[in-house]
Amino acid sequence: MSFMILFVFIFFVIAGLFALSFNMAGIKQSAQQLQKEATLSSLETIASMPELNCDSSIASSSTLCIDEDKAFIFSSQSQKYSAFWPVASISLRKVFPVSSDSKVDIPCPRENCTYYEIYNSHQKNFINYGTYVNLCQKQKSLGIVSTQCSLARLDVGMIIKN
Amino acid sequence: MKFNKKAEFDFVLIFAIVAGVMILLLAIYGAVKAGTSIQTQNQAELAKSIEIITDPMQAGVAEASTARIDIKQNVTISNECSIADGFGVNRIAVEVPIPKGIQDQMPAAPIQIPIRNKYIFSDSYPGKTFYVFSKPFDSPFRVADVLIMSSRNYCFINPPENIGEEIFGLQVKNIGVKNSFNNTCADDSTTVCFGLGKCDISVVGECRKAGCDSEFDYGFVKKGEEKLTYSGGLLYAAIFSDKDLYDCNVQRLLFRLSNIADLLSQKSDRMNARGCNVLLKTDMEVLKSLTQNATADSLEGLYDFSKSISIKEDREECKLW
Repeated sequence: MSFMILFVFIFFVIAGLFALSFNMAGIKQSAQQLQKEATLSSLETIASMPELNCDSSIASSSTLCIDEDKAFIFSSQSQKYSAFWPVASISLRKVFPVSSDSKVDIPCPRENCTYYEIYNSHQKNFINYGTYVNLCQKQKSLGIVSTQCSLARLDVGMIIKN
Repeated sequence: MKFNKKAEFDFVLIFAIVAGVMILLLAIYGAVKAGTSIQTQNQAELAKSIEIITDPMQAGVAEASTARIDIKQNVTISNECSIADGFGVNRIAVEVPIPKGIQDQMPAAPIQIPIRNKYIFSDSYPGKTFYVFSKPFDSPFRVADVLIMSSRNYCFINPPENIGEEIFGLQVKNIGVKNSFNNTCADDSTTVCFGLGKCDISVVGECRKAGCDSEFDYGFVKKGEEKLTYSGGLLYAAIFSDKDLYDCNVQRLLFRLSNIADLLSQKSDRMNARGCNVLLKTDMEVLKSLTQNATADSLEGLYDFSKSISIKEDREECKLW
């Protein structure tokens, strides 16, 4: 009888360990799902931030617009806001129009650059989520002020906690 | 050789009872621990969800937006603010009231979710339904949308016309208005008077210059002995928030304002180099230095300076913001 009790005890311990491991897997999955939702919802938030958004004469509630001058300045001082961003990385890549000669991204800050690294936490493992935005700047030519826009892809890296 | 069968039988019974009791005690202990872990997990998920739910409320070009959070049980959403590294952080935690019998067995503090890019103003009043609305903080450009969260009922008594219209537009159910025409206040509301009066909270406007849209453009909110200085959209933050939290979040906002002013100063250099002349670099540098280590007491002076910059920017051909 004592052996039967012992085996019953061991059975419950093993069953408990299985239940615990399922529960822990559920916590990790839940945390990753929440992190993914946070990253996706931050795409529009990041594009609308005063640090990156276009001026009021260009900005529209229906399209995402990033100021090219602000993006250029950020690419030269990306670590200044390192404690601020809720994501692992933020980058902008100009997709149209780009010079047909150039198939490689030209990183900013440099004249005629096409790749803006706004923030990089140097996390090794990450998942990228992206959307397309207008990348605009004000120009003045022959006394006429105009807005010059390009199409760019805004990529945001999701934080993965190991 | 004779065996003492009676002693052998008793030993088996005793061993079975002891083993059974140990198994039961272990099972009860494990169940309580698992229940604690699940509750902590739920609270942490809820606190993280609050961060995600409030993301779309920073709508950028919108004037204000409103949301409602319903929770199945009575909770307190605690909100701590700290000003580490300038940008600072809000730490949100969901606290569930613990029955007295098992208080010693529950974890000492709930899990706090740090939120660095939002400015959440709240009181620590418990409830099942929390109303969240956002108001922009412009000085003179958009710095951030401040989020105001509360479960308590408030009654605005004879508010100025513009504030009354704003409240009506927000459609926040826990804010009622009482004037000579109607009364939408709940019975247990915290009263808010405009001007000194016998209310729980008094709003005193101090803007009496020519450029003021109304007397309440800036001033202070009086709560008992405490005085919270506000300007513009921070009026609601001052009404709905505890003083320490308000002062800390305002400092965070002003630090961010300082950084944006620096960014716009550099942007003006780039625009000028392209021939799109902007004559606001000096103003941005002054704004940056004024707000770098500023507190809520600087809001009144900042309001006047921001107004003057805004008028200059309106005249520019190439807009800086």
